Amino acid sequence: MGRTLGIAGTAKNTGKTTTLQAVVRFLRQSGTGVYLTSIGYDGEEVDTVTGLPKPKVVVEEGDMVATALPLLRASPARFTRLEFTGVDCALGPVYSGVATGPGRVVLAGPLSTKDVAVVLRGAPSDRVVLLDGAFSRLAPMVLSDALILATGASRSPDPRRIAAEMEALSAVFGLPEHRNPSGLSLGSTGQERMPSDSDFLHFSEGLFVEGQDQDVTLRVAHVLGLDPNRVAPAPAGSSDGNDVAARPVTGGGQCVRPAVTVQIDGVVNPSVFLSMAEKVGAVVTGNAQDPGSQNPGGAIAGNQVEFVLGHPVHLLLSGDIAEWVGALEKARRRGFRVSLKRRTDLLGFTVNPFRPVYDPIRNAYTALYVDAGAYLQEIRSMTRVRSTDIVYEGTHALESWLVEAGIAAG
Amino acid sequence: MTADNSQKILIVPLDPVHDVGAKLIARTLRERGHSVTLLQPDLSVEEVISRARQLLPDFIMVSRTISYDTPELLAKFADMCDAAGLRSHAKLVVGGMSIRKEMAQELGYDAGFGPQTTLEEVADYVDGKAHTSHEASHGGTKPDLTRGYKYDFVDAEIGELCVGIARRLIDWASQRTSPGIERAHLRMKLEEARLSGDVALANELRGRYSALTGGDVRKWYESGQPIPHTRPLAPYEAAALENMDNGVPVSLVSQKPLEPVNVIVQYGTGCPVMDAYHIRLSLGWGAKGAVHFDPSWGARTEGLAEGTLSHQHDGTVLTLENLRLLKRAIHPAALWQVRAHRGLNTPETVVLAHLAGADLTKINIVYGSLGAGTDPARLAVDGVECLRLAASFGLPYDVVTNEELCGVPARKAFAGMLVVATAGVLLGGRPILQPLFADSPEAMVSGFTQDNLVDFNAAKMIALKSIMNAPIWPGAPVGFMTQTQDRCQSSTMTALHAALALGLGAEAVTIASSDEAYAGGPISAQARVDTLKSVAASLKFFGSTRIAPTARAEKMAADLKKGIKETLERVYERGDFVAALYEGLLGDREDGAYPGRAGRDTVTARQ
Repeated sequence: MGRTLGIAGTAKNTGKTTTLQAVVRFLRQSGTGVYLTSIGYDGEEVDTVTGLPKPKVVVEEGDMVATALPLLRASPARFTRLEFTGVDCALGPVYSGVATGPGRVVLAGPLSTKDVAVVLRGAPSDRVVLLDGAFSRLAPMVLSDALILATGASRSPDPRRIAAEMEALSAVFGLPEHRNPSGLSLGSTGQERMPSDSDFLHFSEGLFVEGQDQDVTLRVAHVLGLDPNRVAPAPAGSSDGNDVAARPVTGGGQCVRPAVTVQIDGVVNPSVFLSMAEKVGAVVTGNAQDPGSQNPGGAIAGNQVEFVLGHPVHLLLSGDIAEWVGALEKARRRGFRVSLKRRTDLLGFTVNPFRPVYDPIRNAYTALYVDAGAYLQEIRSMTRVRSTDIVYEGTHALESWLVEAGIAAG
Repeated sequence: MTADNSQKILIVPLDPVHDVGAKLIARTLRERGHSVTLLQPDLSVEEVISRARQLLPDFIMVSRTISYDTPELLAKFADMCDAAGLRSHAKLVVGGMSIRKEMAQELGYDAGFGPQTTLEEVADYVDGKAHTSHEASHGGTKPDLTRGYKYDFVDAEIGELCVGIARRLIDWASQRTSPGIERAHLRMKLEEARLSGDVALANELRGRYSALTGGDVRKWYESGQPIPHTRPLAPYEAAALENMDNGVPVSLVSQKPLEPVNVIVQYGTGCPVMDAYHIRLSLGWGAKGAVHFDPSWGARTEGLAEGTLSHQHDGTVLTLENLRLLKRAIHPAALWQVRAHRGLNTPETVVLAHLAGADLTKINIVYGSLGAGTDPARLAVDGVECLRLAASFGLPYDVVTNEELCGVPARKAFAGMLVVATAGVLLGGRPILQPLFADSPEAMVSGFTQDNLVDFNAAKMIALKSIMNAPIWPGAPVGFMTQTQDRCQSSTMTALHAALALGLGAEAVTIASSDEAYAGGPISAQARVDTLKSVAASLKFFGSTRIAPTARAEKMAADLKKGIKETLERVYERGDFVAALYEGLLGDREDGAYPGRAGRDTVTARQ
């Protein structure tokens, strides 16, 4: 399979289509074949929710598209080499085709991760697949090799909130990929048990409802031979690093492999994750501090527990994204490692100053804009995470991300 | 439903309070043998996902009423189902007042059901049935409005009169011809020559054809001078029609009440491309067919042009090429009528209707003669030829009484209609009687519609059914002269007239859009949907109940029948149907009928 670039949004009307068109243009210029599809509905005349005009998706001769068959037929681009991809969507069977001329097309493709995987398997390996997002949906983006996130005033006109979210998203996507002591990633080994001197726990139900944090805590305690009822009191204020659990365990200067690896697949809510991390930390610390403990003196240290989360996208679907920064920081202070089973490179953010506002008197939406330059500047003053407004400052930054990621030729 | 087909379904009212829709669907699905778990409302998305992970259903069906942040919530739910692994084996469905299938697609749902979705549609989807209910009306066989009718006379006396008059008319016409008849036959030969590739013969026939044309049409044939207010379609316009998918158009909402009945619309914007979209729109909203309206100037000009032509004003120019393009917009199970009931080109119009693949035409001699400006003798000889041609092509046709709008009383108009229909039957055809359901001048003057608009229209149906065993198709459209510029009022009047007609056993009914009553310009797509939705709503309202006329209707019907008979007796006594037309026996000046002049003195003896 060729590379897949996902373009998703943090909200509706954040500029995904405009970003998509800019990426497509650049890829064409650089001689890279494109294969376009969408996990939603894109390129329509007017927005299904706001009724405001939408940017078009325009293809050129040679572009390949996977969309609902009625939409392929309706496109003036006159597609040829039609093939059923093997999946259906809400608007009909999804077919791929090659454009024989320029024209507009509406994209409506595979809806779920499972269906996206089917479509990707059928995509030519010499083309870059552009997986267009929908609304604020993210789940199928786990299959992307790289991701661009569109955000902007439609998400929030407050640049501070945008900056905070960008920081959180960057932190989540920036988590390291898990490697076992042999250097293999868990993603490459699947769910195999780790070597015998470390234990491996697998939670496939996710971590997003109350009670699951306690389940994880109890099982970790059991595996580590700790008494779950010996808990240290919660530290006053933020951890100052004096927690036993936070003290790194060294052996001749080398990192010790984790005593237990906890793999949590599915949706992970930052609040529930933090609660779990604090509970585990309290049990580890409590057992270490208790003279009656079977493991006095901190023989079991926090960083001997590694939490392997499935994919950064799964961390963004429940709860407040911005809470992840604090949750990951606190987990680190407890001495825990947090890594990912699989990663997707987050190339950067495109920022859109557009925001549709609902007018209850007219019962209609109005298109408004914040000051593009001021908005972008404000965001950049608060975070160093990569961002660009491709309409305001051109597509140069976006194109450099694509080249750097190897999506497009330089 | 066998145990093997039983699906495990989780129904989620993802709403703080409302779950009525969810309960109804749960009940319907249980009745179909499925295992249904219905959650309570006011659960968080996380709680629902957690429950779904325990159940591992085959379908997760979410209901949600319209409210703030609905799309965000639904998108989040779809994402979490995906991330939780539920979509590996479950279909995700959403339903609610704000839901459309495009929105369902955008939000990540395998199917979306919006307002007016029936419980059966949802259940059929779960059962994996191939189509939704509003496709079913077009997925079946094309309706045959004449099926089962024997055309025998229930009233023998009236029948005897009709047959006698009709036979004389046929005899009279068979000895005569007209330029219209000759052009019709030339057109058939010309198209055969074109099909066979005989260019020389085609050119020769075309030359002979053009010699029989007149006015602007002749100028067009001779010098290529454009017919005023027309232009050829641009290549991209013709391409838009050629590439049009004539599959089943799918409406945004179900119009289930229209499925068992035949509601027909009219079109004729002047632009074939616009017409095609109007036709597709109407068929998608439950219409079963469409009627072509051509410009009135065409009726007064000898000859029809060729090519794909767009017309600046109302009415779409009758050319074979235009009709063939428009055929693309007609689903195979929908009815398409091309009218040949007035003017100087009626026989050729029937030929074109046949060549273009129309299902029906419209033929009359009386209305065109007395209310549409065509000379009675000309229209009589052409009309009989139309009846012959229609029979040879197997094309049914309606016989309309539009002269009622001029003021001709129904008893005279119906007499004329019955004569023409009888002539059609004698020639092997299948006529459909088309009385008007209108607040006609007669009705207003006589006070027939003073109390209500039901009795007089019902009387027409009662009278006709008591005379002849023939299909009845009120038009065209129903509700004439009852509609105002108010779209609600106009739609309501149309809907009630349609419900009345269908309730009285009409095989079909023709309706107008809500703005046809007053539109001085183009008819809007929204106005078309207005009346289709209104008719569906009225049929839903009445269901299998019937609008009951008062006792006056029977009295009116009896009087009407008596008047028909008296009119026929006078016409029979006159011995010459065409003379009867000129002399006003079927509608006179006092009634508001005037024998037409177009085509006068063009009837000649047949060689």
